[in-house]
Amino acid sequence: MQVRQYSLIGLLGLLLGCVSTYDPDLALNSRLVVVSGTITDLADQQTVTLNQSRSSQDSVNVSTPISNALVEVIVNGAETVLLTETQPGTYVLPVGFRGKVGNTYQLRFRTSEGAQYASSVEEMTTVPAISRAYDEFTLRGPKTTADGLPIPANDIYIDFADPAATRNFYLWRWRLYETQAWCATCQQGRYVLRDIGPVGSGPIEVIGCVPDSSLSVRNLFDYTCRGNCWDIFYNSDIDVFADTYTNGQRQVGHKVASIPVYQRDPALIVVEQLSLSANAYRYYKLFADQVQNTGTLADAPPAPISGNVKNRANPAENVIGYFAASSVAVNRYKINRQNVTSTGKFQGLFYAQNGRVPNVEVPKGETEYGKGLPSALCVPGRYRTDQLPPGWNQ
Amino acid sequence: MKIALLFLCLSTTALAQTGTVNGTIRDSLTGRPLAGVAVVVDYRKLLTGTTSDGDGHFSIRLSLGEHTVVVRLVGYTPVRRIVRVGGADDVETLDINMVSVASQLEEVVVTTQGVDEYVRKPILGVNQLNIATLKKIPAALGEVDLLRGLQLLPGVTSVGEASNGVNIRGGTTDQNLILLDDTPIFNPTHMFGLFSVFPPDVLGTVDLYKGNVPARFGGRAAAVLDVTLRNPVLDKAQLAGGISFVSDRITADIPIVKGKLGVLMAGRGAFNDFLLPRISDRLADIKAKFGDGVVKAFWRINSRNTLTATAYYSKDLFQTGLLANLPNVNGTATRYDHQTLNLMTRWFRTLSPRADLQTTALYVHYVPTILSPELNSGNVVQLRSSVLQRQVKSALNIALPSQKLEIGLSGVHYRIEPGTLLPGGSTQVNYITTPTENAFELALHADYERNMGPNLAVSVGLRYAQFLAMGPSLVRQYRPGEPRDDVSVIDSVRYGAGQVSKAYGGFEPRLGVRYTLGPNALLKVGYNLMRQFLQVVTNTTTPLPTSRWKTADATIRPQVSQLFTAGYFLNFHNNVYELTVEGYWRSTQHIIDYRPGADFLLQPYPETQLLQGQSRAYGLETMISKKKGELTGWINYTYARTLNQVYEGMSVEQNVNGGTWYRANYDRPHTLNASMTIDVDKHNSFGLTFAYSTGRPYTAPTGYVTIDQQQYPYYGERNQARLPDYHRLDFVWNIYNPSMAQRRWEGRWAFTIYNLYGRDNAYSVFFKTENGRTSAYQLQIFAAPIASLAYNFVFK
Repeated sequence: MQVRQYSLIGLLGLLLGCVSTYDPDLALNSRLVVVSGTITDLADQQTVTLNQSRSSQDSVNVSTPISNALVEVIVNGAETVLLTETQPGTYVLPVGFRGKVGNTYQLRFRTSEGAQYASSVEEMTTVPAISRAYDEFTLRGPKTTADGLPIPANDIYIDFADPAATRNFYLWRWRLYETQAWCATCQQGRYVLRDIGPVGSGPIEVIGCVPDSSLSVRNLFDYTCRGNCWDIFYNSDIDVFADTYTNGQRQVGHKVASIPVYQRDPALIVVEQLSLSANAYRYYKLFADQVQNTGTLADAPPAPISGNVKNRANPAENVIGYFAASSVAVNRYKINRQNVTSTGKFQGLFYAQNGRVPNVEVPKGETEYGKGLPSALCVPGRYRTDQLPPGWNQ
Repeated sequence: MKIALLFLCLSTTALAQTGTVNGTIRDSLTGRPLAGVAVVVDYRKLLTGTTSDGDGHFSIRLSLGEHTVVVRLVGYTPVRRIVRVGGADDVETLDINMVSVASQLEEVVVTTQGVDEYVRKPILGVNQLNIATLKKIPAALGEVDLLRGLQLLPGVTSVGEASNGVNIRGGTTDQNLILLDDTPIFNPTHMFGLFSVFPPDVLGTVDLYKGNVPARFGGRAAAVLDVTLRNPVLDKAQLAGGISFVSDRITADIPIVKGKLGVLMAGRGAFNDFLLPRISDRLADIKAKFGDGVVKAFWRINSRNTLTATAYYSKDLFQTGLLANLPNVNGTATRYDHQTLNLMTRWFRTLSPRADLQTTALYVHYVPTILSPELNSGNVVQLRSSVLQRQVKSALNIALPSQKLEIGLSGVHYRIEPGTLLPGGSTQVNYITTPTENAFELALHADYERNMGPNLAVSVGLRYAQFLAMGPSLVRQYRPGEPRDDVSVIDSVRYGAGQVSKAYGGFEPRLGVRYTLGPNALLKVGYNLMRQFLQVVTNTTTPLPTSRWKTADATIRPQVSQLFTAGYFLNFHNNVYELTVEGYWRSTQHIIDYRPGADFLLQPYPETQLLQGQSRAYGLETMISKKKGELTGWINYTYARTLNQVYEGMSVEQNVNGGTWYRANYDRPHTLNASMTIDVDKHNSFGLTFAYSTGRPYTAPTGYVTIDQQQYPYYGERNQARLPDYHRLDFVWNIYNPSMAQRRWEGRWAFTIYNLYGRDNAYSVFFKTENGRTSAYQLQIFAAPIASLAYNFVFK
């Protein structure tokens, strides 16, 4: 039996396969217009981004925003809503614009060179609510890279009731809030923050990292957060589902996310369930099969895919991306991580992000900015917030 | 006186140094004694010989030592035996059963022997793989594997280690008709291509027709692999078996009525996967079990009639993270479960010494299932499909001096259930089924072979095949020129049960000509036309065991393939060496390709996912074999190309690469294979095989796009890149009967090292977007030297 056990190791190679990085010699040559935008019925600001992705022998990928385009969304084939460019290539719908179930939307734009593009007409359909979200701990969660090892994670599942009367196509997005204790890192420098008024409660002046040549070039000092702070993570996988086999049935145990155990502290996941058109579903499914569901023993062969935006003068031009309209059902779920049973080491979010433990500054003594160690400001943005995420205290 | 004395001494010596060899020669099938069989002894290149008498007996006096005895009779495979005359006046018995070739127009010749016979047939591109050779060459993980052995022959390739079938002369895997005792094999491999399904211990003959295909075969466009299982031993019980790292095997021959009725039973099982979780938690998700079994019975009813029956069953259960999940079902894993039951019965009747009639009935039921277990529930959702083939055929063989004729007819019924979703106890999945396909394939054929003078021989075959797609069915008509989808439907017609919804038919001529250029060299040319009405539809690189089988219908036209071949054959150095050079050109109409994102699961109208086009393949195959001696083996080099063209319209969904010719998935221009076996002594033999081929084509990105700060690959062109070249060296050391203690027990150890120098051959290259950027990876299978030990025994 021992011999067989040993010999089975030989068999593993073929059952597991063995994945290693590969350096392909690619003949790159593409120039593609990329459109991204989904009209939703959420109160958030609605945006459409336009850019041009170029690949050539010299540069693998250059993404240039398409600026100064005239971008409009046609509602129900009649009403025209003009978008304004806030950043190069990013066009926003007017503040307060919200999609409505039953309306149709079409994107049209004209580039500064005069090329005209239009999407297909997309109808916003209803989406059922997420009836329940829950999680299960697994030691063998996702791999961060295809040649890596699975890491422990909390798998997030949802249940929902698929409506019987309609054909439904779903897409899921999520964002994850993790508490962050460390708000700044200075390389060959020290973080400086000065109280203008009374210490701790008065106004402050943030100077940030001030270089200190007495430190080594690679010296890193890390600073704790001055107040509450959350890091935000977004899904990168495309998760679509059609009710072809399940129409009208309550769906149980759809896995929407696999969240690595960055730390033992609780986290909040906001799951958004979107309704797609049949065409949008087909596009996302094919896209997912080509970019993420690869590496199986029998991959589907990749092929050119085209979205629903066409050049009006040249329908053969392949435009990437999909302009969709979707109603959104939101579920906020607190991952309390009480079920994390592993004896494995979870060294906290900082370690997970940086691969090292925080290095606290050795105070120099009293300086012109005062004495003691400063704490850093939580600077809000796409990936961080200092505002309590709704649902955190549920 | 002196002279007389000397003569006396000489003659005494001569007399003292001879023994007698006698025996009876019979037909292996009927047991009938064969008269007039030429028995030739190659004694120091001086031919000595006799012929058998009316009772099949012969007797011949031979000097001491080892002799090669060859027996020949028209219509039978020549048999070559080595006899040893041990002492003066020894009487050795040599009973020989000759295999009739009346049922097949070309002789089945063991490759390592009787070279010239194979070369002398008009038929071109036939490879007989010798089972004894197969067992001597290195086998992955100690499992003797027919399909891997075949890939060492010129013109036979695959897409890699996990390839579910082989590609022969530019054909897809499903363009090969694979027969096991006349029953078709729909899925030729276990464990997703790693092992082939043919029971290694009971293989009889293996004939691969990759050039001229006799007219008795039809229904597939590229090649025929005709595998027969050996008949039960009728005179004494015998037990054989083996054990390797992968599987355990046992074979039993049980004569029930001695010389008349016997049964052969063989089983193989691989159930060791329960050990996997003990080795590592990482392997807990893997399941890999397979088993196959054969029962074959042979009954010699009387001197004129025999009955043969074969039952074959094979089952696989396979689960790994390397398989894609069943889409749109909330499952926790994906398991593949497939099984087949093949039944065959054949009645052989001798009508006269020159004529016989064979009638065969067969039944094949192949059932692949995809299983998807649900979260926190014992329930498993199943997607089940099946292919049922029932067939009756009959053939009359007539053998005349320098002529042979076979006339036959065949009728096939196909019933295909393309897929049914079975919820089991699930409350979240609906019962969904797709319409069953019914079809008939009827054929008449005639094969005729004739020697026309000393230098010229021809074999002519003609087959007429009629295909009938039957109702009940709903047949859609689409607006021509537009992508076939729900929008372009212009009409639909409902056909009832028993109604013909579409018929296809046509003649399939087959021709082989042989022209002798001298005592050792000859030329052959051939032409073939074949039609294929049943095919596998899948858009993956290699078909999955669960891939859908689809008959031709009103929209999907049958594939038609034409093959031209020419070859030059030369034996030299006393038939020790053989050189073959063969070229071919093949053109296939209505090959199947796929729209981007094609999905056949539970698809009631698969024609909406398919495109049809054409294919051309050409190649040059060269091979030198050494067929006799302590060192035997071969080396071959093949240059071959396979290109496809698909254009149904100008939109991206209607063509591939804009309608230009593109490389097939298995287009590998250069292939070099070498195999060598060294028989050191009675107890040891070594084998080495080397395989090299150009990497197969794959689709690499032609650019990247950035969407929402994530970089994704963009694929503008199909199959424009190639994997790195593939090469591998394997080694085996066979040890026979290490201890000679028991003569009834024959044992053999095989120590194998697969991929001796540990080449990291890429099975596939894939691109994945992770953490915002696209990375390239290669997937390897067997990427390290794999040593294994297997033991086989025969107990008589």
